[in-house]
Amino acid sequence: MGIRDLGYKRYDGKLLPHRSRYRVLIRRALSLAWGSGLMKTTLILGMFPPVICGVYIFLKHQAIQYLARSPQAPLQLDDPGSLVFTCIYWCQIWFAFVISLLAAAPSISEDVRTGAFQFYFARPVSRNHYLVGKVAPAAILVLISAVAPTLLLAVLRVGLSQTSSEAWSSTRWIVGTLAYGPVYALVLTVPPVALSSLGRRSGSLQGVWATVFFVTWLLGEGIAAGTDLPYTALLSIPTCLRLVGQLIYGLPLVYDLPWYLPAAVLAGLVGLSAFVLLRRLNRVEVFS
Amino acid sequence: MSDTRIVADRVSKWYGKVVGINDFTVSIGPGVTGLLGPNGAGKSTFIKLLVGALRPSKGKLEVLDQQIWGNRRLLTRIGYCPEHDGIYEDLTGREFVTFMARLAGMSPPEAAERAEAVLEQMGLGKAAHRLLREYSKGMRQRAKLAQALVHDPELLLFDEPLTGCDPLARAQITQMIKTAGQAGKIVIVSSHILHEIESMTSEIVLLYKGQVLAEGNIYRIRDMIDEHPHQIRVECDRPRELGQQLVLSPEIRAVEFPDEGTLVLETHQPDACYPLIPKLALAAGIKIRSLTSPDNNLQAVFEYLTQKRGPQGVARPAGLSPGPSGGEPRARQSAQDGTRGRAA
Repeated sequence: MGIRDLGYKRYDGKLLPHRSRYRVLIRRALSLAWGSGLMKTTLILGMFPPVICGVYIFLKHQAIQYLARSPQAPLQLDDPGSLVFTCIYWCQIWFAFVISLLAAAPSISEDVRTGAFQFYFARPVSRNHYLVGKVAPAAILVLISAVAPTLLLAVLRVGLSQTSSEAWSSTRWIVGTLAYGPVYALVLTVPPVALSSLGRRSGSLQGVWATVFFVTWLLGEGIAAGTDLPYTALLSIPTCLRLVGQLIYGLPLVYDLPWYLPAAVLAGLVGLSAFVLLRRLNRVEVFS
Repeated sequence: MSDTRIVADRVSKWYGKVVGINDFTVSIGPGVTGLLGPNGAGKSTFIKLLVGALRPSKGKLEVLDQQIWGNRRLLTRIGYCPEHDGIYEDLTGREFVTFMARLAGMSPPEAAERAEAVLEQMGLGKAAHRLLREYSKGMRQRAKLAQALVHDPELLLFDEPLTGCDPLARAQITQMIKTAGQAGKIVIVSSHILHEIESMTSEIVLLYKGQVLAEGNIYRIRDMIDEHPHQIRVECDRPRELGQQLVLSPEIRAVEFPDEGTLVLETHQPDACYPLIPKLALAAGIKIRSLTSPDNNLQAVFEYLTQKRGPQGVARPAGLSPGPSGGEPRARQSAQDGTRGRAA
């Protein structure tokens, strides 16, 4: 067996600008996520509730139209558009949570565990590139699984409108989803990514994220519903997300609380997570 | 060809209270340079400083005529192969190298093309589609080298590149490193094994306990080994009889018997001694079980060099420049002081 000629073949091409690293890192993370069977299953299963909701909205809208033409006493039905919020909050949150568990909670800890940091360090990847490369893919997946189908539902609702005034009033479901989507995605991705920077055991960090999410939900919602203490609902991340969603969609708040409190809690959570994340990355010498 | 240099001017790096490298001054030009030193000498620390992964605690470090710390754009001109694995196990060899090429700034088609070419050069062409978790240690090492080469950098930093490689892979990697050096690139290779470095280059920087001990031509190291009283350990059935025979030859400086069945010789002429021992043993009918050289290694050379340091600094054998930093002078207590027994 001979020894190969391992001489260099000089690269004469041009290098892309540094902003291209954002795209490279995001695409790589999305590609890795899509390679996971569990992720694919979650994304596919996540399509079913919006389809069912879409059918329901269509049928309900038809029923409202029928009843409106009926000579008998008119039977009032709610605007089927309210199902848009029901879908994004009560149905899609489960899929979004699984995605945050799979894509966000282990994102940095896996790099620490495998030692992949050393390869990032040896390339012109800045802290911002790295941060965006970790948060954005998880956020995109949450948007795809939860927000995009809901947006289609909202478009369907507008499309079913019989009059221009009905269409105009229904656009609030589209606007609401567009406004709520980023909030939803940030709350479900920034905290778990920050958690993932605190250790190297991905499984443990996923467990911590699940515990934080569900225990606060049970505690906050349980105490608030069982007692006359609505403020305890603010302990729960999902409940705050629900209250903010109701606020954005113009729906009545389920708890009698000032509108800004759940928003402030979520802003504080995301802000604190971002602070922890930046602080942890600053401890990585190359980024400081 | 490039005239760029690596210039470290009194660079120190501390990890808390632990010294990584201390008062490190060195200048490196194009070609292959070996960083030679025992474990813990500071080789990896120096390489990480060169790749900008660590910030110097003190001193000035210029890489390719620029400050490296905080200058992440300069990394497009640097290829780094770390000592330890840190590879995404779920990627194929092709995906890994292509990803690293993309991070270096190559466009997708160019990255794919270059990755293919480099993997082929590293002998991984047929294994490029396999997952990295299925690679052997040597294949992973070559994949790491491929990612360092893929963007055709001017400066190549290889931290213990031959670790875990089989003889053929070693020969291939050694050849690749030499070719890169001949092509005018600055190639820095670290190792704690003398002959590994010797097979790649004659230019070395000797590190010891975080300091530059010497820099220059590797062949002087060999001479130092010869200058240093060389020990040969012989295990045989009648060591005292063999010792009596050997001590009569002028090449033998001292003989001692550390235990039953063992003889340790000291000589300044190991090349003359190695044929002499079996010859005498054969003539006397003595059976030799083993013939080893306990101190023919780098550690012995380092100890020798550090012991030779006087108050003014390191010893200066011809062809080697002294390291800039003085070590603690140590009294030399080797064979010259006659503490060891002579065979009567």
